[in-house]
Amino acid sequence: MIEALQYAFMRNALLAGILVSIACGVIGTYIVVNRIVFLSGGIAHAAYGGIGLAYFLGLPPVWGAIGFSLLASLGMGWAQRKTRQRADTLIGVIWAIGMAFGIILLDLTPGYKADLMSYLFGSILAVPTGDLILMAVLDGIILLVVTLLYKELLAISFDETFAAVQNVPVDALYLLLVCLIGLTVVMMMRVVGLIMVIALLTIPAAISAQWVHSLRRAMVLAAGLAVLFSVIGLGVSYALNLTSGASIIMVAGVGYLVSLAGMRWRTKKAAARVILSEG
Amino acid sequence: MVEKAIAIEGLWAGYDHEAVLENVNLTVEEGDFLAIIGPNGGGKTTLLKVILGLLEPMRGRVRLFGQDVRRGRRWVGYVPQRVEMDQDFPIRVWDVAMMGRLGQRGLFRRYDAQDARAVERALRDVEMWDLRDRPMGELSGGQRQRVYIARALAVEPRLLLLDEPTASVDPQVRTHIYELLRALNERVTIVLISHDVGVISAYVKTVGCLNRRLFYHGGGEITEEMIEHGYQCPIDLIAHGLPHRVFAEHTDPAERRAP
Repeated sequence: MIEALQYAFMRNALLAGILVSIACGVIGTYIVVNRIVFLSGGIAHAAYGGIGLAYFLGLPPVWGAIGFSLLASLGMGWAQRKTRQRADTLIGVIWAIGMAFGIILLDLTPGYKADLMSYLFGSILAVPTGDLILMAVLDGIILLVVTLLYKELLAISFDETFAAVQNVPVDALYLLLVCLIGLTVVMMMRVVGLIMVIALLTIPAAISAQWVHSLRRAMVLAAGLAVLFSVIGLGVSYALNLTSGASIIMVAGVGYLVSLAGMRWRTKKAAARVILSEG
Repeated sequence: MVEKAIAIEGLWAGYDHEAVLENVNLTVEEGDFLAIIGPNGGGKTTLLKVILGLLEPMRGRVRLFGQDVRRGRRWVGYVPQRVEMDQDFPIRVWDVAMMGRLGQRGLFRRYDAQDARAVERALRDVEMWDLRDRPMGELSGGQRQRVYIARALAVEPRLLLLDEPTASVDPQVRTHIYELLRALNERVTIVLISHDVGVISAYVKTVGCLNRRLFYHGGGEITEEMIEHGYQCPIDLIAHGLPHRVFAEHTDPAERRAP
């Protein structure tokens, strides 16, 4: 397996997996505890509209994706906060329109559209060095914001009413968080593709929230798990010649099942101890 | 002049142009222990939201310690009704109580030793200090309620505002919580919203009844008028074991109509 690392594309893939995993663990933890998985899926799909637009205008697709996903994030975040009913309907509509908009613009763009599928299913084996730099920068932004605003983001995730009474700017911070989700999603499209973004965002965070009891530790553990899943997934995809994004997600899914089983076993053991100590 | 903890004048409030509260007037002195009772849908939660600055009034004025609610609420320790929570939320007792210090610190600033001292005092007050490293998801309903009270105390509040503090705990825990509040009342003003009509009267100093309008006389008795207007169902209440002594001598209700 080590000989795979002699290829530059494999080294880039590994590095991309690690960089994306950091954002994934941190932001995924917020997504899971805030229960905004659906909203995050919406952002991922709406971002496709940005890719279509960028192709149509002849711009770099990743910039289109970033711009569009930030817009979609703000729109959906606003819908989630301010409309009292049917936020999920609105999110679903933006989700679909963004996607359709992208596809139609691509139809209207003449010429050869080679790597469009790569945004849908990911192409971690074709990540250029420029994208790695962008990923590192986005990681930096995410870590900086989350470090500076840790106590506020924890408070709005746990109990936003109490945070509001404490004069925390809840709405602004919520929109900021949703924008960070947007940036994370764009990074991840490269690695696993927008269809499977949600799986890699939520699975590591869902596992770690079961095992540790502080948000900070949950983020670190989730990031570690995401790295583990990406590296093993890449290895599996290399060894068996399978699609890399799907391999990573399958490995993560198996990890989730193992964690569930481990959790059950631990609960049973704890229950047995109680019975023993009482008997 | 001593500032009133809460001063509400001619308050109308509600949602989508439909008023839930009509012409509510209320003055709460510092040191008071006021319970606001009333039927579901009577506007208890709406009143609380207005006092906390979470809902703009349609008409009227609300002041906390002589200030606009958005400024005055920094002296308020708020205890929410919801005791249920996401059991998997990765957070410990200490971290929850620490949220009471958010208003003191402000954005981008870390909690310091002074915050830690305030949180320790608050957790000791509610007897949750020994469980400070326990995950919130592993606590009982009563313990969780204590943590929320500690979080409100960590604010170092002048006014403690509680929304149905005993809604989802068993009767024994309920008594503990009321005993705790009575002890705390020696240093902070307390306002609580409840429908434990029978129990609260033994602990609080004053009672008001809210059903769109507020029936309040600054006294500790639950008057027949409150129940008549507030609940429109006196028999139901008495059947729930309302102690006799909470009733004042009967006088003509027409004389004591709320302003």
